[in-house]
Amino acid sequence: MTNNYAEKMKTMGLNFFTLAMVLVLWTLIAYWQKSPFFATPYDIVLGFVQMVTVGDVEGYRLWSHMLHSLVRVSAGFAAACLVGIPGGLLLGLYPKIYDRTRILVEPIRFISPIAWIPMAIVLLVGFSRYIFVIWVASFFPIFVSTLWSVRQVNAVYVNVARVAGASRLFIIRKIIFPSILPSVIGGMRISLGISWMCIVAAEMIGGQMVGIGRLILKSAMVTRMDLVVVGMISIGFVGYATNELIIFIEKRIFRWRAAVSIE
Amino acid sequence: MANDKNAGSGKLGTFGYNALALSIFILLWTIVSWISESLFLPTPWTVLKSFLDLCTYGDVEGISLGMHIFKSTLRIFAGFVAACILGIPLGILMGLYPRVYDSTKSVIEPIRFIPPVAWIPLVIVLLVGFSRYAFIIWLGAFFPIFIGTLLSVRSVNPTHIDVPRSFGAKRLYIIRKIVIPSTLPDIFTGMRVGMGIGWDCIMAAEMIGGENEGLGVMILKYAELIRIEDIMVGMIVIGAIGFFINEIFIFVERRVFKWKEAIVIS
Repeated sequence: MTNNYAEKMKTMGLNFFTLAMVLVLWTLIAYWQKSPFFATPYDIVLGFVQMVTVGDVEGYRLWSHMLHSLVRVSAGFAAACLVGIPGGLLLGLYPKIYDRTRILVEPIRFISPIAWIPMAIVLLVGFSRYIFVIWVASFFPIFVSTLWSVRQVNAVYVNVARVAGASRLFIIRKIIFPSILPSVIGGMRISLGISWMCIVAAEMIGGQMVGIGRLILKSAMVTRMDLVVVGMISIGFVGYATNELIIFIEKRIFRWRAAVSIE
Repeated sequence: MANDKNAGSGKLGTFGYNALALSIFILLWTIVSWISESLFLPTPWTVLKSFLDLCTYGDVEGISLGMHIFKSTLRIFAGFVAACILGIPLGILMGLYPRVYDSTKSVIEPIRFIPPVAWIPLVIVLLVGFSRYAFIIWLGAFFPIFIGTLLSVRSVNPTHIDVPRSFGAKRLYIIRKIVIPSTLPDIFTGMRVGMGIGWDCIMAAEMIGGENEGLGVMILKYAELIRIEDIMVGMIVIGAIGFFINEIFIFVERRVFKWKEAIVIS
């Protein structure tokens, strides 16, 4: 126990050491370069403070950028879940429909979601542009993982319930739904990662002046490299936080899973 | 035999239904766009025509579709190869010495969570021309390859390592004959995922990056001119190339790792 603890402390200490080394090296190189393109860690802290208290060149503060990005991602993501999970469930239960219309669905899957941005710019306005791009980006991982996991539900479970006289709805609610949930949530996590990437691209190209993606591009145009890095760190942080949130929920829901698995 | 025949006709039936679905879809599309006569809903034939135009005459600036495709694939290839060259050895190394990875996590993990697309503005300021795109693709493809290799090296069956060690095999021999062969399938999966992300990133990088060639900038150019049919052609080409690259990876995976399926016991 103590040994384990000592080992953990040592790893943590080494981590701190590496981080400090990188920061010192970074500072030294930045001082030696004296270039406006190379912000020191201290500049970035100052830039962060400025973003929190004053805001960027147009007066938008950091939290408002983060809020806008977060609202866009959550709206598109929620829409993708609303369409993707029931859609996947339905087509998984009736595999014939999916097999026979595959030729329409499959090609769309391979168009990268970022390639939809120009189309969204032409056809949609304002907020709906972002939601559409996020929806396209996060729909397919959720839809496909739901579909495949419905197909892979253990047939014995379904047959036992059917033999015992369970109704179709009961089987869906009590057997299929619980057994597909883990892979649905897995699909949701993949979707969220892709969504954060696409929202940055959509905000850079999409025209509205708020959003973390736009903050990064805007700051790069006026070569405020400290603000660029502040934006990059905030998007990394928000992405990390939302990912951790899903992992947390997953652990809460699937406490039973660790308990009942045989292996 | 009867079963076989049934399965065959089932497949044929599915194929027939797919063809039917596709033709109904195209028919509906044509009818709706004829009725609406909208600028925003071109008929399938207009799309086909602009595909031929793009191939033969090129786009508004006279750059042909082939040139756009060539530029995009060249960029993605350069970045992807760089990611493999760096990611695979580094992953093997850090997997063999878990200490190194565990104590540099505080630097590596935060970078992993920044989406590669967020690097584009920084890259625009710091780099020029071709290197911009290569860097972004490298960044996008590096982490899936690196992490896939790393985790796979860590999960090599210890018995497979201990047996040759007790027979007196050298470290290099164990790496060459046991660690690398057993991690190869996972490395390959990492490469396929990395290629997929790279293909996403190149679109964003080309749209923002400033040069005039590349599929990403081509569709953005037509978005500014509100020519939906050309945007559709671009999107279909992007989808088709993504599909083929993915298929090639899956094909190679099946061919090279046949042994994997054969020796699985469970």
